[in-house]
Amino acid sequence: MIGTLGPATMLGGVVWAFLQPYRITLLHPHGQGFWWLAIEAPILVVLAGIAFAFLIAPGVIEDLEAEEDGR
Amino acid sequence: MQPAAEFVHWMFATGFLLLGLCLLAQAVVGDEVWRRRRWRAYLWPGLAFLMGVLMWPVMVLYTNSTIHMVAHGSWAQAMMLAGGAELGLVRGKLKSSYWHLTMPLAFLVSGTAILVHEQNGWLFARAAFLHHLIGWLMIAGAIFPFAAAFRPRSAVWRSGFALAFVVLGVLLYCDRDVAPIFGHISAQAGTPHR
Repeated sequence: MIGTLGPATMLGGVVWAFLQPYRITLLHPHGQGFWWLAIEAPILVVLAGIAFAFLIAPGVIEDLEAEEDGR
Repeated sequence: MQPAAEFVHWMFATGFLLLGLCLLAQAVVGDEVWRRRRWRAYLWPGLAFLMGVLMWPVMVLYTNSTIHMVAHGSWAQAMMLAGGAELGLVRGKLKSSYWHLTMPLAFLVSGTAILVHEQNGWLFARAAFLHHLIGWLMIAGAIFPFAAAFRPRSAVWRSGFALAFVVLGVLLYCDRDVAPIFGHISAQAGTPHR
């Protein structure tokens, strides 16, 4: 379950990007300002998923396995 | 160079999404496992406190009206109080479990503030619709941290608490400054954005 939270979040962001590609300003960057290029909601969702999957989930899974092993 | 309101909403949405993911993971694995690494125990309370701190510049820079300033200021205080209380509980400086009640208080204050400061009806524009929806979500969602404060081992209440933040994040991601909702937008709302 813990291992799926990050990928599921990333998948949510990717699906959203396919459903509303106009929200990915990087696909048509000409004439866009800084904020439109830096803050793109579907990419933020993917980044949140990546942060959780790679920075938080591995340690939690490791500790959960250690707890189950009685360590 | 100042970002439009919708960018700020999306940045805070990301914070709430991460907060929700951390709370959900903690609800699933339990406090003992979650707190095996000290830094992790401080993670979501620290994030909540940080988001409260970051709400102050929002209050200062997005003062469309007095009521906006009061609403943003009250969120900042409520989030800092709730995050700070949870930090104090994790650190052991605060002993009483009643400090957990600062979180439902923050939900109620935030929900009330977001409802009060929205001046338009539900279908005026997407931002107005989302303000109403988020306000009622926070007020109704306060039941989860309230119940979790008294039933700290209940997976249902704790998962509901976590999912309230995830839903809040999703709703904030849906925000557009001026855009229709369900195809409807008031003629007075302004030019719709994509």
